[in-house]
Amino acid sequence: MRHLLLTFFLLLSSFAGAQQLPEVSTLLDKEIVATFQSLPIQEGGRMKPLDTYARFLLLRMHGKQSIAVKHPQLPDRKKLKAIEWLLLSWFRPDIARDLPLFVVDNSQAVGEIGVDPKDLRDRYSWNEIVKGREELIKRAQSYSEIDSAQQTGVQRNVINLARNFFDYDAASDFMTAARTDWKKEINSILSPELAKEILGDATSLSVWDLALKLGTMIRENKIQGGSEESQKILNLFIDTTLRPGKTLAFIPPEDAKEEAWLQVEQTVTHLMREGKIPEGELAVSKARDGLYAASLKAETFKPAVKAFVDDIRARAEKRGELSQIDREVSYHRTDYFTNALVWYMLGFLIATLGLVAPQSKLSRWTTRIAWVTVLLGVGYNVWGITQRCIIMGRPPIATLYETIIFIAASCALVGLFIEKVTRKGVVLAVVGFVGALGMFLSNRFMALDGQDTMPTLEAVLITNFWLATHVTCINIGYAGALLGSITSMVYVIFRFFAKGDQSVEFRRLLTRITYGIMCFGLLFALVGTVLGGIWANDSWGRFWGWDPKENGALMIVLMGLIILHARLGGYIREIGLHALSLLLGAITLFSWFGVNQLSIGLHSYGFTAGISLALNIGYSTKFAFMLACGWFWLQERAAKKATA
Amino acid sequence: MSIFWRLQNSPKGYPASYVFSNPHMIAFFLRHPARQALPCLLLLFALTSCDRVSSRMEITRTREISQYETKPKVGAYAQERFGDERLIWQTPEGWSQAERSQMRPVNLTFGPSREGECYLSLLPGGGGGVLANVNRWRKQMGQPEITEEELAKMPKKTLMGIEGTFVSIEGAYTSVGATESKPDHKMLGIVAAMGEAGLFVKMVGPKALVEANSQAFDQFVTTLRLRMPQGQ
Amino acid sequence: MSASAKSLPAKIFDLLSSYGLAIVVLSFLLIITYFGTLSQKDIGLLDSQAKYFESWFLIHDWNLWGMIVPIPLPGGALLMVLLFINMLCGAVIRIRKGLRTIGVLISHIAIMFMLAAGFVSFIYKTEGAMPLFEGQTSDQYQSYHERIIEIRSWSADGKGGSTAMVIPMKHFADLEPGRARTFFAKDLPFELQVTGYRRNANIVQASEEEKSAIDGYRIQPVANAKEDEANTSAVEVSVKFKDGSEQRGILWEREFEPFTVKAGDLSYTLALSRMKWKLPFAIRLNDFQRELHPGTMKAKKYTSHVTKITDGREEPKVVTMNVPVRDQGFVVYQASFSQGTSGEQSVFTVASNPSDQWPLWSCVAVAIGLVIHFMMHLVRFLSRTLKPKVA
Repeated sequence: MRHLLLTFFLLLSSFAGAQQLPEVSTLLDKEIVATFQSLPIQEGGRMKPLDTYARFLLLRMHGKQSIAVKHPQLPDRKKLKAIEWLLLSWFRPDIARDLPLFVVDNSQAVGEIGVDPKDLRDRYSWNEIVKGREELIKRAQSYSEIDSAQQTGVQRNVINLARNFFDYDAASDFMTAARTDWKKEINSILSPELAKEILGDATSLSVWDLALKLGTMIRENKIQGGSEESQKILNLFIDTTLRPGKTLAFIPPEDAKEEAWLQVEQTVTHLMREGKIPEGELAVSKARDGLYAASLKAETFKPAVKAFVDDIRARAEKRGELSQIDREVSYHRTDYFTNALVWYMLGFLIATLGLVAPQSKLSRWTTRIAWVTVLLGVGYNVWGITQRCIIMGRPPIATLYETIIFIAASCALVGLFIEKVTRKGVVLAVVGFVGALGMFLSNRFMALDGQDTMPTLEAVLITNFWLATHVTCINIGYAGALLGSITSMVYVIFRFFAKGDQSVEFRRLLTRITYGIMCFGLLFALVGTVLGGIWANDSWGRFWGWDPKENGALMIVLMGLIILHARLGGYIREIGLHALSLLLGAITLFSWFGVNQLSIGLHSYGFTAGISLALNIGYSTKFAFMLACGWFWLQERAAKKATA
Repeated sequence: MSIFWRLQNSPKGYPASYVFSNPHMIAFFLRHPARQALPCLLLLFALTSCDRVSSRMEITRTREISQYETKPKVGAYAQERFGDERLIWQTPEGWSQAERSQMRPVNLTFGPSREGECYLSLLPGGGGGVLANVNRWRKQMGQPEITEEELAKMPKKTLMGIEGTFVSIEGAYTSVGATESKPDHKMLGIVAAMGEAGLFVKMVGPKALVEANSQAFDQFVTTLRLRMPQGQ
Repeated sequence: MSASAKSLPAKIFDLLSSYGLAIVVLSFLLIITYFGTLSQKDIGLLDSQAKYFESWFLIHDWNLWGMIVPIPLPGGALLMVLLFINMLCGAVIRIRKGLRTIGVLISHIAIMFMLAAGFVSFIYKTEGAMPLFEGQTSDQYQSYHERIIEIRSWSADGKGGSTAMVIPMKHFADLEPGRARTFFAKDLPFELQVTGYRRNANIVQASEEEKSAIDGYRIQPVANAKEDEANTSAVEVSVKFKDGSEQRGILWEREFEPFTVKAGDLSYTLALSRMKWKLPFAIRLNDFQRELHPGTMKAKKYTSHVTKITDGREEPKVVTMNVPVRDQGFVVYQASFSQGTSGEQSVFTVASNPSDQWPLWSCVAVAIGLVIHFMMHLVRFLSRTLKPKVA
């Protein structure tokens, strides 16, 4: 029913002639896009720029923060930025609904709802999915009743598709109320007398005038609730303005004590119910509709957008909520971690090149260049983390995503320190590799998760003291254990390729490095774990509860202690140390990500499908290297026997 | 205290108090590490051992009653104690009560060998609305599904103050989990929706038996009601 | 170093203080921690804690591609005791004492102290919930797990005694159907036979001809919930009077009223409930506030404004997330809240633990010890690696 109406409107608007629609070039003007980017809105309990909203909406639906386009109406564009895509969805849904937006991992999911499947993993436009709308609702509803652990991949795809489809439906209807010819609608629904009373002599009618007058008429019982007319009006409002589901909260409340920003749905209903709303709220609400009218001409649009955004920014500033908006826009624009990825990667490649010919002139130069590039990588990495801390006003780590970028930075910094001391170039390559891997994983994680990476926190986590101490310590501990296991991997690789006396000395150095990093990690893991217990004791009265995440941390500490004592007791030397350090690496992976996959306990904050695969690759790599250690050990023993 | 008793049996046979009060003894223990380990071990074991359980035991522990504790009702009878008085109904003559469960808070049987059953059930989630439930029942009786329009035409009956759809289906009955159907059965039932929740009364049995008991069904349904517990 | 030259105690001491023992014990701890973590998925936290970490021995059923392989393992309690002894012998008694080992000594003593803290809290700690509606006052907290059978006496005019007799869980939790135990006390005019304990049960109406029914009801066992807090246990009791008469009843954790028996002028109520402990002060909840992140349903802060009443003296206090109220060895935490028909209810956790702050001191000491130790190593490492450069 709703769908029919919508199609009807779309048909209507296309019949009305092309001159009624805003030009694409007007919408995607650079200045306009930049202005909209910095519009403050409230979402997920915090203030953020519209840019962030657009990025993560697109990321969730599309799997990327930009969308590749090939559309006759967008002749000179190959790619749209998230914010451009959002603006197009608002002002030109006729084009935006044609773009291949929704990513579906398994084409069976679209097949199920009667939409022609394309490749196994492919993207579908709103217009393609809308054909299977009814079936999509039905299936998604019945699938979501299944316990989430029992759902198949396809079922999860269907549920996600439904969620994304309806969220996009709501997002792309942002301007529908402004596009609607309310006068015509009212004339067709109400009796001539009532219509006359509402319309008067006005030449045009906005949703705001209508809401006000309808509200009065309902209160005066001129329109009966439950009558056919009121039902029709309600439907009209639902289709155009009162979208079910969440839409944009961009209206700052006039009352300074009120924390929640308003959506148009709320201001319309308030206006209808109360007969009046604070002037500012009404002005901002109306300004949205004004934007659409202005968008029809290039020369009116720019000033209108500027006035609209400036007004909201001014109101936000008065409420003290504007301070981090521009920083966040710049944070996302700078894309620190992709930059870091590139520099780390370069550093890794250059440093590795130098390792091929050690002690040569080439290697001296490559080392120098690698130092610069890796430092740039670390710089982007650390500066990105710092920006996040400033934006959120809290210590660096509170989510799983943040552990990845933090651990990468910690590994890099510790590694650089060791490189400075040992000056062999090898740790430089390790740092480049670990940094690049970390940045890559953080990007993959963000795409899989599809959520704003700066979410508001649960009540118990809102404590800067413990986030700064316990969480940071534990993650430095993870970083130490992981870096140690990676130097052990270098040891194994090196041992496969290098022979001779020189190599023995170098192997010894690698062993000392590994041991040193491991002790460093152990210190932080141990203190961090105990601090976690003290936090738990302070916030819910138990020091240790054998919670899976606590156990994970304990396992790291125990493994570290085993290695330490085994070395002191002379039970392990080189190979043994590296084998155990690899095991410690595997345990750290288990504690860091594996425990969350168990879906039990207090700390299980992230269940993202796809992580299991990455984890299994991680475990298998560690075990493969451990097997290599076993082989070395057998070799060594055979050699000893031969000499004896 | 058992700890001290065990310490008295320490290797040298010194009483524990002596060990701990005599500085020379402390020094002795400190100088001879091997000797120190054993008492420590014993101490730990002694601390962790627990008291024995026998077939007759005296109650020794007590608990102080707080002035803020609500006073329980003395002399409450069983129904009151188990909160079993919320549902009230009259069991029709010749019917008997079967075991009740969370799923079937009222569970009655009837017939010469109790082959007929009639029970009340409540689904907090509703189980997909009235139509879905009616069709589920129709499927159990081997009948085709009906549409929303046909549902609207079906007769209504009041169940615990809520208007519900009255269902009467004849056919071969397949009970939940059964593989074979029983032919020539009849089902009477009421499906009522209360917000999200669904309320059902269902009676199934051989056709002749059910028809003979249809009056009793009505009687049961009309007497079934909810009593709000007092004080809670 | 011929082994035969050493006396047996010396040999034992060598074993107890060895690195080898440390490695073995730590390795087993690692293994049971891993298995204990995985098992939480199947048997829940409380049971896996008891099986793996509070036990002397255990048998782990290892699921090897569908085949169950039983593996006997040492339990957490045994391992921690051994670890304590090992540290005592190896790192405290045997170690060469000097500047070089000061860090090691400090950190080991600190860890031993932490183990001791764990042990003390295992034995002496009490912990429970105190849910309060706004305006409600309480001075007791109820255990999450410890079930009790309690007996209270009432005079004819309805006055109750000031204490209740308590049978702790460990005295009846083993009484599955078919096993019984009789409890007596010198103040009681009857003996109490307890049997048929079920950890999680419903009470159902028995069908008419059932012999085992008590007052028309019987206990229906239900599969144990993973979270022990959700289990509602039930037990059968038989009150045996001196004159040989007998009265049977069912006690159930979720019952609304206790089971009553009469003996002369006095009435006795019997109930299966969770242990309650009394605080030396009372807490009255004045106002509970739940702040949300704006525009969402996600909680930002829970705050309870309470009045602490000690012997009639009233003090206003605020309990919030991460900020408990401490007094006289008891700590009152903001745990959670629930929204019922009769308003908002703030749920506090109350704990009394003599070793409450020990881990904090221990942590500081461990950190200091390890920092000293590793710093000395780092300096040595640096000087060693930098030396060849100079040479």
